[in-house]
Amino acid sequence: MTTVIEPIPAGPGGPGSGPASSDAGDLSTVTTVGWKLTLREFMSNKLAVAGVAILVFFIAFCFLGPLVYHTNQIDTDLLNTNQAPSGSNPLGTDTNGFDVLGRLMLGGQTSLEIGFIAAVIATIIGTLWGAVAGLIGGLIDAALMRVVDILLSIPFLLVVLIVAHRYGSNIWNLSLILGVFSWLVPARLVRGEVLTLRVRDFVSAARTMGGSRTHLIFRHLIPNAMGTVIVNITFQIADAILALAALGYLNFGVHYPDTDWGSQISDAQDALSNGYWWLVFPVGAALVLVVMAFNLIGDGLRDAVDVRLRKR
Amino acid sequence: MAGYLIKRLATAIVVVFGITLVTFLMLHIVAPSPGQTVLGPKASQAAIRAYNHANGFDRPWYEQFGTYLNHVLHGNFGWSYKTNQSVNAIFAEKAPLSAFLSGVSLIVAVAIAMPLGIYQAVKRNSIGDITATTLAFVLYSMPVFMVALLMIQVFALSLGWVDPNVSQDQSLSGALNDWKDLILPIAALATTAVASYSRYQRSSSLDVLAQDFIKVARAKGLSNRLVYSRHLIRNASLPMITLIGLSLPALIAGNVLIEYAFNINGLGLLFVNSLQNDDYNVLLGYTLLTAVLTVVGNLIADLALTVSDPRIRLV
Repeated sequence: MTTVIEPIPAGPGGPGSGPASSDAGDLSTVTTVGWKLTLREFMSNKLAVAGVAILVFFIAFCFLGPLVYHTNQIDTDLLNTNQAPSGSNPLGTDTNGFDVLGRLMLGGQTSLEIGFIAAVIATIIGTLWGAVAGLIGGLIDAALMRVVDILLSIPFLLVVLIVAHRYGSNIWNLSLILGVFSWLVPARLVRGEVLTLRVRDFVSAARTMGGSRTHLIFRHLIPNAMGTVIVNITFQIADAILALAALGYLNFGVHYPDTDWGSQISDAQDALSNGYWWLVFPVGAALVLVVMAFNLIGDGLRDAVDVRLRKR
Repeated sequence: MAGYLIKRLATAIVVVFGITLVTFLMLHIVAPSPGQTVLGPKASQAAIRAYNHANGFDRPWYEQFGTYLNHVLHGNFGWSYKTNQSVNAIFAEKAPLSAFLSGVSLIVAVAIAMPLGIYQAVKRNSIGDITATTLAFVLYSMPVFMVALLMIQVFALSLGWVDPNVSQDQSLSGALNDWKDLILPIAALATTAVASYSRYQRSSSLDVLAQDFIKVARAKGLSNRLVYSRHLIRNASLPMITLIGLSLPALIAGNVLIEYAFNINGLGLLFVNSLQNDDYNVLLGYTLLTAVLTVVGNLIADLALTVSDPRIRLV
């Protein structure tokens, strides 16, 4: 957020060259353990903490909520469709007579699960791809990165729609589809990290001692690129949740009896002109809040990781 | 310059070939035998085999790909089974409206985001900046169809300023007769784009403001006005050229969602309908078209950047 004009340190990140001035408040403490610094910096970022709070709330709401708030989300209740919010249905009922609050929890479970699994799949593929390309270099690097260029040029939504149309419909398949087509950004990021890491002394040392490429990748390169990877994974989850919402909105989301937030909005679209606002806006608000929470956490983590690299 | 251009074009051609191969293979795996979809679920196996044989779908995939590539190179995207006309004809019919939607919303988005981002950087941490940042952050997390639904609720249903139903005319001129109907779709598309563009414009302006030449310009005694118009805007806008080039896939995805949300008869809605109908040649053609558009867009952005910034060396 803030761009501070800093005196240029001699060799950014070089051992022992950290700026010893400015940020007076932090000087007294001598913690240099990376993750502690990161955590403290992260916790001092109010927006990021708010993001965590929103996320914890929604995870509890979606996964623990149904344990307390029992609703029937299997059988339609056609005598009680489109009921306005009332005592028995705090957020009303939808076009099939399902309780909207309970539906929101069910849809949230799907959206969060798919977002998380898809992001993990994408990150694993992307990290390996980028690390191999960056470490080996040369023709193989060029070939691997051209593949990334090609896939990046095909609009993501179109590809995912085509595949999801045939193989989608349940949580695992949709996670796999979203994950398999969204590893391009982490691949580029990790390759960039590896390109700067592989010329560093500790990597050369490991190589001189006879470390194999696999050893270099898993023991030295990926662990050191982890900061970037973890920051990216939060954005990746946000994007996956948005992509799933788009799929659901176009009617290519999970199938009955499951639901996801995008499908709920899609089912409710016509309800708007009938004045049934409770079918659209609670779901929409939940979706936006969760995506926002992940974006806030990602921004906070990025700043925190940056600080760690700067002060170490 | 010529060497760079040739190298860049060669890469683009390789990428376009790769795109064609990947898209073709993907649809081939998803739908190895179109006979069943075209003839319907009740068709006999013999009829399906005969259809697939007559249309060459029983040949190995690389032969089919060769044929398809040959046709595409001659400007022929094949036949749409469902609408029983050539894909070229459908595209020619529907493309102007989609292009108009995307084009106008892109122009509107850039026209709003650039001044907004620069203003935010110049007046950093002012109330205006904080409001705009917050708003951009919320909108950035909002899917484009949610923005559209909110706008329909507020401007069409609550305030009644515009009609929530968009003209169903397929031609651009017909749709333009009811130009008021296009305000909401364009506004929704532009709003989401502004949310991301303005953030980039703000941060690139902040980077420029921290540069020495801005200090020098001020030290020379230039007024703020001149510092901003001569030194800030030009330099801070350069990254936007690349960004706009890179955001083309998002623009196309937005187009699909918005045309679906407002039921506009453009290419995006055609794509969604073709998915439901398994109209593979349309899917293949549209994916290919948008992907090539993306490559060309990036190429133009790169060239525009090198033209407008002489510091970029052409290697």
